[in-house]
Amino acid sequence: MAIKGLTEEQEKFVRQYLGNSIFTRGSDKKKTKEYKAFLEAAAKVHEIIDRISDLTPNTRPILDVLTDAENKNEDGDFKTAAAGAATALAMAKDVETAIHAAQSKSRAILTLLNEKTATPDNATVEETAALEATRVEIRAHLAGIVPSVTGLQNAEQKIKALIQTDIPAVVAAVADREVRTKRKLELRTLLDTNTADPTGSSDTTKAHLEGLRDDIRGLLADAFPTTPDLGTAEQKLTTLIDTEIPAVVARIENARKDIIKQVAQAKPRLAEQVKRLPKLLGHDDYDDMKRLADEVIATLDTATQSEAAALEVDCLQAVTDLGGVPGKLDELEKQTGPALIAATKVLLKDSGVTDRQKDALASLAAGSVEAFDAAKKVLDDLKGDLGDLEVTPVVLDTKQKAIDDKSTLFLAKKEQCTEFLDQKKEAATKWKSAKAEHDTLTLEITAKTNDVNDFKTANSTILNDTAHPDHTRIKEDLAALELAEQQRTDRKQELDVELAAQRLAYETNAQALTVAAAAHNILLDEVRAARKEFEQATAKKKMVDAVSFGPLSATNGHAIDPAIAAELIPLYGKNAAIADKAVKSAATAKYPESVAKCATLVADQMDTGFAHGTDTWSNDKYCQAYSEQLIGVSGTCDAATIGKLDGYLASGRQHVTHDSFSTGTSKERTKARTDHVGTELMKRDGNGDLNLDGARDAVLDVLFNPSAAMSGTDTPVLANQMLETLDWLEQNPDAQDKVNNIGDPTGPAVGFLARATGKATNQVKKEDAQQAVLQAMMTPVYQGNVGSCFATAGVVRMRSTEPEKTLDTYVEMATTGIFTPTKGDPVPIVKNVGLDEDPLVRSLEYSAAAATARAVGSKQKATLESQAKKGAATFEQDIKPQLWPEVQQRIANAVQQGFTFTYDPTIKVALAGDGRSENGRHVLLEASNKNPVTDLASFIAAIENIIIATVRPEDCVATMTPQELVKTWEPAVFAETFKIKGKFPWELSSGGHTDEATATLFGGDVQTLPFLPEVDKDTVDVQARTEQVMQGFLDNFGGRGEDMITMRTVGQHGFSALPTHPSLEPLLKGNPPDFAANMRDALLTPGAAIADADLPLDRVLYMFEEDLQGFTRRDKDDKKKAIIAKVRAKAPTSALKPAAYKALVTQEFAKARAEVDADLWKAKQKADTGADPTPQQAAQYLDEQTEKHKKKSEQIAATRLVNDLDVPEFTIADTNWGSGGRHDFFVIAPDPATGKPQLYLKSDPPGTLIPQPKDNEWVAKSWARVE
Amino acid sequence: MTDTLPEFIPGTDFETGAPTAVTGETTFQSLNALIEAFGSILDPENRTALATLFVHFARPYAYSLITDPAEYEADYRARLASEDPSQPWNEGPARLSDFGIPEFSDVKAPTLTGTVLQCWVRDSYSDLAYVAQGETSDPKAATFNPMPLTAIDRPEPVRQEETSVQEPSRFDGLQKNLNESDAEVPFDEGSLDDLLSP
Repeated sequence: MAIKGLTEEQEKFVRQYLGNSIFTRGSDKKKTKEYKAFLEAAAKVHEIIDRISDLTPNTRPILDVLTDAENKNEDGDFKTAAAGAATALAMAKDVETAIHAAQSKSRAILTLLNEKTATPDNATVEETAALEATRVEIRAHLAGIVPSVTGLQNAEQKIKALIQTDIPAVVAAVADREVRTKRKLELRTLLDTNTADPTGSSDTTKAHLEGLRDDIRGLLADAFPTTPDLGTAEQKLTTLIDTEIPAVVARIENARKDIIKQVAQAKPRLAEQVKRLPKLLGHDDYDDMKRLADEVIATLDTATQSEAAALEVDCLQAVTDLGGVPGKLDELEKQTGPALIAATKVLLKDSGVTDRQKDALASLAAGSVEAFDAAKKVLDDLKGDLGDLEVTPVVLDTKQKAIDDKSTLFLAKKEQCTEFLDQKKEAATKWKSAKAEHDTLTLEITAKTNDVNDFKTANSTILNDTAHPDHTRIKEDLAALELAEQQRTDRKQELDVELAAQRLAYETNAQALTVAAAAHNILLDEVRAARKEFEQATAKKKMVDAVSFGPLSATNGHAIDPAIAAELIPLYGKNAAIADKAVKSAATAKYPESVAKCATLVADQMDTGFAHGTDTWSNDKYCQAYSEQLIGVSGTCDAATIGKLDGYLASGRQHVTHDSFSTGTSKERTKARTDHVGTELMKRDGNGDLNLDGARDAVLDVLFNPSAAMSGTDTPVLANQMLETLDWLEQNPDAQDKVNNIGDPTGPAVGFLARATGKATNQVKKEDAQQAVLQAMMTPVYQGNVGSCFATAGVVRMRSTEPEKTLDTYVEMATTGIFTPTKGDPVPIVKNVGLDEDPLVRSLEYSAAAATARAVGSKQKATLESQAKKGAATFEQDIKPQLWPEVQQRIANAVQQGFTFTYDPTIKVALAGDGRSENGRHVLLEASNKNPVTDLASFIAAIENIIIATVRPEDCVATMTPQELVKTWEPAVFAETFKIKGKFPWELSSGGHTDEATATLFGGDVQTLPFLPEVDKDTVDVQARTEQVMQGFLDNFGGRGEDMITMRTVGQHGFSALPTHPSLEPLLKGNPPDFAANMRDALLTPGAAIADADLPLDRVLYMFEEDLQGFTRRDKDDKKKAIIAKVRAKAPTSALKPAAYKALVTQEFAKARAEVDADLWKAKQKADTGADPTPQQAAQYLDEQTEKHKKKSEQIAATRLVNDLDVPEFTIADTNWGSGGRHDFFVIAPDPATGKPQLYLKSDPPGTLIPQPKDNEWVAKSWARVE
Repeated sequence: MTDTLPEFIPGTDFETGAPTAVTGETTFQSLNALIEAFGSILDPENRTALATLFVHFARPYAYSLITDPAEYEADYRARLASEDPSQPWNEGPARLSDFGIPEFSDVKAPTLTGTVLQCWVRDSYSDLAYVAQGETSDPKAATFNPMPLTAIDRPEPVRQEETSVQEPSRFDGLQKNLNESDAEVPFDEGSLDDLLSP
């Protein structure tokens, strides 16, 4: 039987290995099957080999295995052969699969290569080439029908890198280049558009800037600058734009300002020089000076034009060019100065002034030729009457005496004239009366004569018939008629005599009157002439003195600007008193130019009696006083305000009377003026807005109306506060809204406002609250008579630095009657305020004090409780342990409740003499009986009572009772715990709760931070201590930005430091470590120089005479003359240092007054007792009086020195003191007598310094800041 | 929780000065702690004790509870009567007449509504009446507002001597216009001749 599936040959082949079987055995079948398997596998291997033999050289191993299998097959080992063929087949399949895979992968790679490896746009050539090279390499790796494994691996690796790295890198590089390109373009644009040379740059600057630009351009030059280069370029560009160019701009601006400043400075200097030149005509060097001046003129002309044009081109360069101007001016001034002095002195040859005065007048010319010309004109005008008289005090006395003498004669003659006139009038009256009677009698006599004649005619028969029965009666009737006629005739004759007599008397008196009146009028002219002479002499002396030593002198401590001096000096030719007042006011005024404007205006108004239409004032003294008051006020008025004075006077408002302005106390007058402005402010316009303009106009009445100006000095500070408040309101619509939104007051505010306004409570409306708030804002805050400084200091500071908060506070008070402090619970406002002052302002001060007192009270009680708890420990061993904490607390509470602290403001604890010191202190009282605790014994007695009442028997340990407790305890130990800083509660020196008050008003935890400890006021070196105060002030407040910081002299006064006051600038230069050196340079060194400098004799004499007039200002005539005579006898005869001057004035003024007083006293003693005092009594009286008056004379001298000499002054604090008329500050300045620092009080206005009374007590206190 | 409420002594912490309440050996640092330990203090019959401690923990030593409104009114009126309302304010002891008079009938016993306590207190400084109100859990946050006061009628205060130097007298009597007799003019002989004329 054939073997299925085999060819014959195959069967034949296989059968040889099967024996002769017929293929029925299993083993044969197995072999056959294996043979078949071999054949199939071998065939398939060959098929595969055929397919792949062209694709891969790697068929040998397969064929080797197959050959081995074939060999086995040939050997009949079908099993092994089949296995080998199967292995070969597997190997062939693997190879073929690998070939297929490689081909597939190669195609995939090529697909990627074709589709995913395009060169990014904007790739560089290099990048493009690199990418292409990679692509070529990949393709190379894939070359052939079947890429090699290695080739595939390489290709795969490359394509991966190409897609994932290389191309993204190129993309990133392209993007980066785009970014950098964009940035580069931006930077270039910035460079091109923002770095132009600022207008006015110099060539050097331009070159510098161009260099910087070149650097940047270099960094941006590449097509694609590197990022670092871009960064550097940007940095440099930023520096160029933000630093370099602004610096140039700033330099140019500064240069521009410098040029403008230089021009501005140079112009008046030049103008002054130009004015000098005419006076120097004929001088040897006139031509040189003229040429130099012309050069400066030319330069300045250019420079002036440069402000608009030339400077635009090269500003920085122009600075250099202009630099020559100051030098030329210096040179010009150097040349013209001496020449001018010489020339002006020549001009003053016959002016009746001393050589020293000529020097001073010539120096005046050095400051202002116009001022000199004005002075020269005054002198020339005066020369007409005075000739070349040199005016001395003696001359003035002589001229005053001439006035007095002439006045005496004049008054006698006037009296005589009056008598003659009266007699003449009497004679005329009598004559007229007699004449009337005479005329009547004439008529009556005629009538009577007719009656007689008629009667005779009618009764002739009877008259002739003596026997007629009626004869006698008729005759008697006739006689009566004749008598009546005769009587009239007689009377008429008497009247004839009377008429003649009266005519004679009339004519005699008329004649005498004519003679006397002529004499009277001559004397009147003489008095006027004498007065004019005196006034002229006074004018001359006052002007020359002011120019020599006073404020018109450049060496005076309050020297007036020469330009303003030029305006003031002509006033001496019009009215010396006005001129004197104006010069003195301008010297210390905030606005001296306003003083000059006002004085000039009122001097003209004086001539017309301030006329407006028919309204005029005939009393020169009134006009004079009004003028001087206006001048005083004007120093606080800015240009805009004083500019309204002319219109005010022209409108005639000076003739409108405001009675309330001049009625009552200072407070009442102040309030009346605030009412006046407040009422105008409330006259809202059509839109309901506050009438700010109307209120401003009303302030003019407060400033300028005689009802105000002639009634005390309540105006300047008040008016300024009003104007500042009106400005503030205008600039703060929110503030106006707050006022407008005030509704009808409620609660306690109603009664408060009713009382303040005088209205019934049901009539009090929102308008009253609004006006009250507005007027409070317009009222200056200063310490009241009974106010607490510690509260007032805070209120002053709050009003000054936080007007919004102040407004809110006033609104709350006026609408609710409540004051809510920043720290602490609300308090009802104090309603007990005087009706004579602003109710809200004063109530705020008092309410703040009350809120402070509450806080202080709580603190004191807490302190007592704490102290008592500590002290109670002495009883611990006697109390049951389990009850001890409770008993201890009970004792502490009982002590706390058993005592109260009460502030007694009537106790004067310090500085009782200056009227401003902190009076009062806290007094410890037993709560039960209000008895004061004044010593340890009374304190311990009170404590014992408390212990006995508080500790219960059951609290005590078995062996103890409350009564026994206080027998065995150590009271001193207990009491010791109550000491504060070594003092028992009843020994505490004074009140003063500035820190609590500050916290009440401003919040936070406020502490008193002393920077100087207290020292003994009786032994303190006042001036060394004052230096420490100044240094401490600088160390603690120097450089601070706040305008006000609360400070105190502990236990004495709370007030406000002024760290930003402009006067402190010289001391605050640099940093705190520099302050000490600043103080040396700006305070101590100048002070020492002033103290060491001799005051020339004529200056000393001037000061001496001025002080003498001040010293005797309030004395009556005879006494004044006596004192003046005595003092003048002691007038200095040589130059003096300030200390010597002060000593001289202190001693001689006081002594002179004492001697005059002593003479009066001796006369009175003799009149009273009939005997002269003994020499010893007289000497003692004299000594006592001298010492008594020294206080005043010393103050006069010290005040004169510090205000007249050029003393640097530094305002350190606002005192809280003042009024509507002035504001007081603490100032430290060198005492000219010693050169050392001294504490002064500065009242502004007028802005003069006086030594702080009892300064030892002030500086010895502990000085502290409170914050 | 205890049924009987002990006496609590208001005090302060020795170290911190913070308000405390002491009973026996126990010291409470807060009202909350005390309420937790003695819940019966919230009972109506203990309202005065609660209010006293509430005021102490809120404002130690600044106020005291008005426990008897009638007595408070009597004290107030007596003190008012002892004052001279014509005297000006001064910084010494507070004077009731400087402030006014409250509506005494508004002064009530303490109330507790939910957790809010309201009570009337006497200001330790001035004796003025305040209304205190707040959560018992946070006494410090309580408000203390003065009772409305009606200003008392008072005469014009005694005027104080002025401290500032005034100079109105310098111009007192200085007339704007001169009297004819004061005018300094050339002497006129008069015009009486016409009287002698026929």
